[in-house]
Amino acid sequence: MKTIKYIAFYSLLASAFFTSCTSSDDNLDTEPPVVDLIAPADGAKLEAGKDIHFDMNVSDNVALATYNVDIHGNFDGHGHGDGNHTHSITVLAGDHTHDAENEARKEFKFNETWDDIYGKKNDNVHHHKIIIAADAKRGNYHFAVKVLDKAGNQTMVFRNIEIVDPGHGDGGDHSHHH
Amino acid sequence: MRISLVVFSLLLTIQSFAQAFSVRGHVSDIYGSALVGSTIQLGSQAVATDLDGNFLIPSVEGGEYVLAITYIGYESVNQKVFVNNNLDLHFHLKEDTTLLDQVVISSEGVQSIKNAEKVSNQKLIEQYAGSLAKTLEYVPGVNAMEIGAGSSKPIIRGLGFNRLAVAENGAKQEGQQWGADHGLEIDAFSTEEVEVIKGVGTIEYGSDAIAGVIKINNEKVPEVHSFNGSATLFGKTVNDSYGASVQLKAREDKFFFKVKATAQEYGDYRVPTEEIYYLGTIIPIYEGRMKNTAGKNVSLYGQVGYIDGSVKNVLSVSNVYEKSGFFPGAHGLPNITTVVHDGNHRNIGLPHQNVNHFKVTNNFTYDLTGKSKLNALFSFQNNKRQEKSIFHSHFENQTPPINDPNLELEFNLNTFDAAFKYEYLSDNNHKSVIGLQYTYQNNTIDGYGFLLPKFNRFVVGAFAIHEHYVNEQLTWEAGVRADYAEIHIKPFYDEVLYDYLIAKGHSHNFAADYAQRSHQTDRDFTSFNAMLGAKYAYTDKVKFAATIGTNFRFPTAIELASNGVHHGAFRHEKGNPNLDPEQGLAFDFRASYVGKNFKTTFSPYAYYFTNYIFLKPSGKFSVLPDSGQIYEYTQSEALITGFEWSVEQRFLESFAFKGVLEYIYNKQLMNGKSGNYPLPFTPPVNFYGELRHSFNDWKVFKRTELFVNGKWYAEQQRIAQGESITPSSYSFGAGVSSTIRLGNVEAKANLSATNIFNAKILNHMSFYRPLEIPELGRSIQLTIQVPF
Repeated sequence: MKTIKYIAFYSLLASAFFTSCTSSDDNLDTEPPVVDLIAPADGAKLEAGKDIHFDMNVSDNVALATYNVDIHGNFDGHGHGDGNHTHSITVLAGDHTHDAENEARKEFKFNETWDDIYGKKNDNVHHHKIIIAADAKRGNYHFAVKVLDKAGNQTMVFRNIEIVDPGHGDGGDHSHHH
Repeated sequence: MRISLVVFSLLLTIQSFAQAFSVRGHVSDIYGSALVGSTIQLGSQAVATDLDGNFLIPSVEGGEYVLAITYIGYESVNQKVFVNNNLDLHFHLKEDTTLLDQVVISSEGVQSIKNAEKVSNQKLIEQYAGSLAKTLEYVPGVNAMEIGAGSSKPIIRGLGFNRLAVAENGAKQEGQQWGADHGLEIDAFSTEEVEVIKGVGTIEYGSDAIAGVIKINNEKVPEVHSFNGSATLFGKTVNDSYGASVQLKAREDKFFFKVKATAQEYGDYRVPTEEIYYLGTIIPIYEGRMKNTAGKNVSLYGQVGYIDGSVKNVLSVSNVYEKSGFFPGAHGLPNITTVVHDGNHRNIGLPHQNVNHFKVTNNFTYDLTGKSKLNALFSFQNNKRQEKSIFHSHFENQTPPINDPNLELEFNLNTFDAAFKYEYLSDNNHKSVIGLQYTYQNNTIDGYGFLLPKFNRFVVGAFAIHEHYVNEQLTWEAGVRADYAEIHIKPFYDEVLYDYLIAKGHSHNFAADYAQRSHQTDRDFTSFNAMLGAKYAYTDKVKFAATIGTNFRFPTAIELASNGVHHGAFRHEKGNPNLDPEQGLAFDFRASYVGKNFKTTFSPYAYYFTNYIFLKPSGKFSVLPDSGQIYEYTQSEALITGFEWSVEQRFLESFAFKGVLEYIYNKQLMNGKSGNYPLPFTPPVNFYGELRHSFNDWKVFKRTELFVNGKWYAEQQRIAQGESITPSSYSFGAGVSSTIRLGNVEAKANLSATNIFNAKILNHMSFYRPLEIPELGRSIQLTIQVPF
């Protein structure tokens, strides 16, 4: 039958397409690094004026490149009431944010990139290089770690942390999971 | 084929003259559009209408004859004619609705060279899936990128955004189509007819019409002395949406009017998952519903038309408004507290977007001589999109604006179009079209965030197309086009960012460099394009068509000059002011077999781009908070190839099966050592199958149909950088449709279910894919349309 002839013809064409196209892909790396951020833990209370215990295991299927630590305030949702507070980004509102002394303090900001993991397939990063300013505004912060591999694939891990008065911290290893 | 004999209207103009008589005439449909190639039989003589719908039988002896006019898909005319004069006859043929309602449609009377598929309003309403682009997904080669449950943007052959054109009544839709969270601002209910043209539409539509053109025709002329309309009610369970649409149209003799209004409201949509995983955080989904994805839209449409012999003018005004919420748990950094259920699934809190698209078009057509036609189009569009979220600057020195403190981003785009087209039909079935198009755009911005600078832009284009209808078997077409464009991008200096960086201890130079979010950029571009196409009917049943041509796209302001973090994409995207116009070469082929009960179409295609513009990870971290690394716009060679294959088979009288297989392969070429990655948002291999059964009329239920369908997606392993592998999925649907006749009223009802097994499906083309948010859960929807 004519129909069958055409079906056969199309199927052949189709299979030719499949075989010609699925061959030879370059060695592409789309796999991002794997990051196991051990410290600080989520919800960690870190003391102003002290260094942060930073500990993570990183690995990549090809090669790691750089990592970045970014710490910034998460005080949003305060001070401009508009009746929409159910949507405000307020996490674990600290007690410190409203006293006058704390209001005068400056937000602690940290943003630094390191490349000592460059070229490695896996590594443990452990240091105390991040020092919280003594006059850092107390309250909630985001602690974000971004790791890139050589191909530019990125993994981001973040923690909600709190900067507290000296003596009130938990060392940063306190586990606070859901 | 059953032929019923109805003449809709017959107008005779009798002129007195001598012995030898000629019979000439014009055949059109009831709206006045010429029916090309219809057969006219008068006694023993037979002729066909030309490209303008005219026919001429030069020499007829006086006497009485039977005149028969036939045209596929239309009811035939059989009429006694007494020839005692030169006759000029005008026929309006009525569409053969019994034929059109059958499952396997063979309504393509004249197959076009373009790879086009027409979708009627009726079909759109039957298949309605919440938004226009999503509804068009059943057309082979079309996919939709959904932004929640109520808005979506189209993708053809894996190309979307600015790589396809949407044109309504001839004017290209200009919104914020560069954005992943932008949906097409066109109301599906008020759309009279959609033509999906796959493959290059560059010659007629210019820049952007690379993957295809979604051509919306809302200028169908109502029948003479008519007043009718319809009311449609719509409801859907997945997001508790309900909507209504009213359409009215009236025509006296020369004037016609249309009024259409649609409103829809929906709540948070249901997903078959209890949690999602985003940036290392498990975000719970309360009550199985995506918090704050509710929305609403209202669209209004008015039209006044005038038609008198050779003059036709249609003025349309429309406004589409949409407000829809974004899932707050993943707007920026993951946040668990914001997703807690607030007791209301229908409120739209922050973050959300407001989109308003206002459009006026005026189309004037003048038939100069019956062989030549002039068309002038003027249109004005205003697209205003606002993204609102709680003022959340990371810069403590930035205070919330006094007015509208939660306005994060606003883009206000005005577009003015003027287009002229002249068509000329010469002897021996040649048709020539020349056109001139002008577009001016102006974009202004507002909000406390920065993403896209202010700009203005203009484009002038001229084109010529020549078509030759050689014979019934062969038609060929050739076209050329030239374009010139200028874009002027305004600088933007971000003082807040400067102060922030200085406060962090950066140098003046470093801070000033970053704070200059955009630079004054003045670019001009030119592009020359050409295409060649032909269709060939090998037999009545076997037909081929092919086109080869170049295509282009001028870089957008976002590609040239964006510089900022967009929470939707969650990365710092940086424009490149040195980009060239994207230039490509495309080949499109189509083979079809149309038998009595079996129909199949196979269409392979290939695109080659000399410089495909894409976002490339730079490996450098941005100093902007919450941004990750910088992605820069860059260009490289790329290849896209694939095919669509559709099969329709009728069996056992009342059953019909339809299957569509799509395959796309693409990758960058010659991208150096950074690697030839696949392109983003590429649909995986997929198959859609549908089985329909039509019942005999029973009591009040007429034309009842039962259908089941299934869609399968293969795993998408070929991913662009920053994407994740999307697993294979399948989903099933079923439904019943019927026309219920109660007295004089015929109500069309459609009850259908999608994702029956409530499967958890990730869609590689979804805006929410990176957040691991699955597709909509099980949904039952009902549509009732009552014509009057």
